[in-house]
Amino acid sequence: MATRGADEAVSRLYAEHWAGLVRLATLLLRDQGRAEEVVQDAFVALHRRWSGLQEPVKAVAYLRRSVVNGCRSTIRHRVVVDRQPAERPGVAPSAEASVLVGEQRSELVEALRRLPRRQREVLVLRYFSDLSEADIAATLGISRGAVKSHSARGIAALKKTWGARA
Amino acid sequence: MSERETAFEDRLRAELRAEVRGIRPRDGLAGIQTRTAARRRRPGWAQDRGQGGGRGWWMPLLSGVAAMALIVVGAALVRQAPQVQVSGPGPDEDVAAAEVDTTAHDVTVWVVGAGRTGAAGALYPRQTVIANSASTGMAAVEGLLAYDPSDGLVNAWNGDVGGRLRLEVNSVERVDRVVRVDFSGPVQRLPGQGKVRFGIDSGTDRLRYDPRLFPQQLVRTVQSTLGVRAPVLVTRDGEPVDRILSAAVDQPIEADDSAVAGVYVTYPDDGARVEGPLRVSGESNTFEANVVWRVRQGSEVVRSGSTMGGSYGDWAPFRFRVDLSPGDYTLEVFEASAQDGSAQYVNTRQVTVE
Repeated sequence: MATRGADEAVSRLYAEHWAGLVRLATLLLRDQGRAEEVVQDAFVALHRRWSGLQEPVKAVAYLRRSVVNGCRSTIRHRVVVDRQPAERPGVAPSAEASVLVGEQRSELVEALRRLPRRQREVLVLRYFSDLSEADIAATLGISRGAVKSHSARGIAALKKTWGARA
Repeated sequence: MSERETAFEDRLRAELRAEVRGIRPRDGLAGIQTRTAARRRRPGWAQDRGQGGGRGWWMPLLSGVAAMALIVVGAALVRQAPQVQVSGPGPDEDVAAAEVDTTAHDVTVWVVGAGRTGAAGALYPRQTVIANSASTGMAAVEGLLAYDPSDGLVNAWNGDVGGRLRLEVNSVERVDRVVRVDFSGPVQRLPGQGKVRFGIDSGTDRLRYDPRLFPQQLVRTVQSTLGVRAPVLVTRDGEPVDRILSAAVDQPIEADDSAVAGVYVTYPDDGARVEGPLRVSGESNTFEANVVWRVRQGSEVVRSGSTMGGSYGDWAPFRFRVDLSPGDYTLEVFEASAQDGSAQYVNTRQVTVE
């Protein structure tokens, strides 16, 4: 019965969170294909551990943490494992969007990607996933104080390179 | 978050969402279900479904035998060919998923410098990821057996010297104060042993292999991956061996620092694509702590310099950065010989600056 329960839970969680988690992973990896693989791994791992999950309500947090860890591992070993060049996120902006958002958006996101890994993760989880400090801390396995610190430093660095243009 | 959000933060939020708004992920549910389907093949699952009901008494037995066969075959396949990084469903992974840990393990594989470059005659670390191993220790040895250096170095455990090894690792476990690695197969000798020539280096086109490095590959890989310095005891089907890949060994085998390259680069990897300045890091133990580097574009040296690391037996990290315009480059990091200034322990990396 446990396996059937895991099947149902994974199907339900997939319907609700697949797209959002792939987008989160794409922001961290810059590669939609890899992002989908990482998120799929997270779902498979969740399925395997479902019966041992103490609080099924925390399954989404488990998935999110698996995804962030998977992205980190992928970045670290991207070159060794697969020497294909990283792709830009999978969908090119429309011409209209390019006109509206233009160069500044690209520069801000690029500036974020040049931040140290931890700062980048904190800012993506905070401003894309809208997580609280406590949830970010749980996702990354760091203290809330560290979340504040990384967030403040990341924002300061972004403002320094881009903020004057805003 | 309780902090007051500035307009800048609002802008960041909007732009992050805009960046991925257009992404339409492909369907992943079928892949997930394929990979998790192995659980349904287990006998216990058959009980969940009401085993036997109206299908004859032999159905549970047959399904149990079939499931066991799948698991055994799958486990054997995984031992022979551990997968580097989980990249999606595959037939081996599908069958074995119910029995092995699919966690991706970070593995540091040590490979042998060889050939015409100054990399000859020492060990260099490479990073890889191994999934579907029973433990981190197993992942370390399976990674060593599977790793294929792409940058001109040699892995004797992957058949680069003498031909393919027919080895299987049975277990990797801490026993007392050693790490015991148990193999099945002829771990004592290299295949094609009589054809392998050791200690040959004409300075031009001969490879030079020192067989004493091969056991050290295993010891370093296990120790680095597990984060221990315990000596390694190698057994074949439970019995200690006195030779490993044609090298005589005293068991258990201690790590030999003299086997490690005096300079090795840990970042970037070969083939790396970087943005902004090229940042290089590694560890060294060289004459007067000197680490020399140069960057080539084609045959032309476009940047060069030196930095300090460790010396006189003390290993120490080094790092430096090089400002480069976008393009393809070859980075070389090495020790300059105290005798004639020639490059030793050359670490070569192809990098692209974007």
